[in-house]
Amino acid sequence: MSHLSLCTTRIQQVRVLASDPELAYAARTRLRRAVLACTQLVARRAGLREPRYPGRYDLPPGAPPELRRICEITNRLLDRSQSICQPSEPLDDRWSDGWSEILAQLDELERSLPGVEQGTPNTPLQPPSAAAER
Amino acid sequence: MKVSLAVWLYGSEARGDASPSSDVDVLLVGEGLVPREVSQRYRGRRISVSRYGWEEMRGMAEYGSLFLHHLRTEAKVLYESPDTAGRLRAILNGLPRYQRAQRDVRAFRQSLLDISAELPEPPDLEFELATLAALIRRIGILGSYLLGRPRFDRIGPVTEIVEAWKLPGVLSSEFGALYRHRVVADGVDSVPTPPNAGVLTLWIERAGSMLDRLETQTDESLKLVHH
Repeated sequence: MSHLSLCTTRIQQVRVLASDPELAYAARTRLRRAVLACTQLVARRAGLREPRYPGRYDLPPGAPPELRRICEITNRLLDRSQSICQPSEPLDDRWSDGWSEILAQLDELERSLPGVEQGTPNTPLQPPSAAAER
Repeated sequence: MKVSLAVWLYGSEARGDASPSSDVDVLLVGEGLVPREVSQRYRGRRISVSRYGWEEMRGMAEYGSLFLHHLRTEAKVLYESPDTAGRLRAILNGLPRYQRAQRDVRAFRQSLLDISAELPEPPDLEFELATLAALIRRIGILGSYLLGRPRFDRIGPVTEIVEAWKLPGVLSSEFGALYRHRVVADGVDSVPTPPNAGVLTLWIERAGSMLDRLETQTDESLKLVHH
């Protein structure tokens, strides 16, 4: 399986659970797997070390816009999922409101991914922020 | 401007078992920012803020939110504006029993299935180990709560259920090593523990047995409530 296919599969796995607030705990973990796969794809294309854990991923200046776009979306996804499940218990109201937004962002993420794969590999950039290394 | 806000401390700092690298868990209920005196008190520490509205708090109280039980067990007031003084304590004092244990068990089961599906060669072994450690802790938290011995710290909940359910002692004695993966994932500890797929397989099996026992405990607790 190519890494792009892995990202797409991970995103699809989130969608399957997203409609059921009772499975919020599992859905959030799937979302984190999807974010991790996508930031790893970005890191590969940017010639950077792949992150081992999902987290904010900020590319250094000079990074191609298609890669920056992915990072913007994954960072937003993490922030949003944290606020609807804080600190570990999903709130039904926040879940129903927040997940429609998350699903829209997942659509956007999926649409943006092929651009990353088709782009020309970059010369290695300087490492991103320390937070992304986690 | 009048600010209607309650600020409480919970987590390791409130329990008194924080390390210098632990996050400071702060709960904000209502409007406003973390008061300056609070941020100054924990200067140099990472403050993790959870924010809720009063309506959300009341909604959570209706189903006996486990998070609110967590607060009731260990949280401390850091600041309350005059109009909110005593309001959260009153909500916590009137909490009913937690009513979502069954759905949590279902979600935990799904989560464990997802981790198992990553075998035999998980693309992100370190992440899966961290995820499994967090899941087992959640099993411990819910289990210890249902047993009437609620624990919300890192290792204690698992120790509690292993003892109460008479599970093999190795589950609690080795859980600390597994949880280290979670601590590393949180960025609190920068020393990575060498990952091992065999460890993941072993703990998936162990988590499965804990989850089976949790399910039984949940059913027993429900029967007790209905009687």
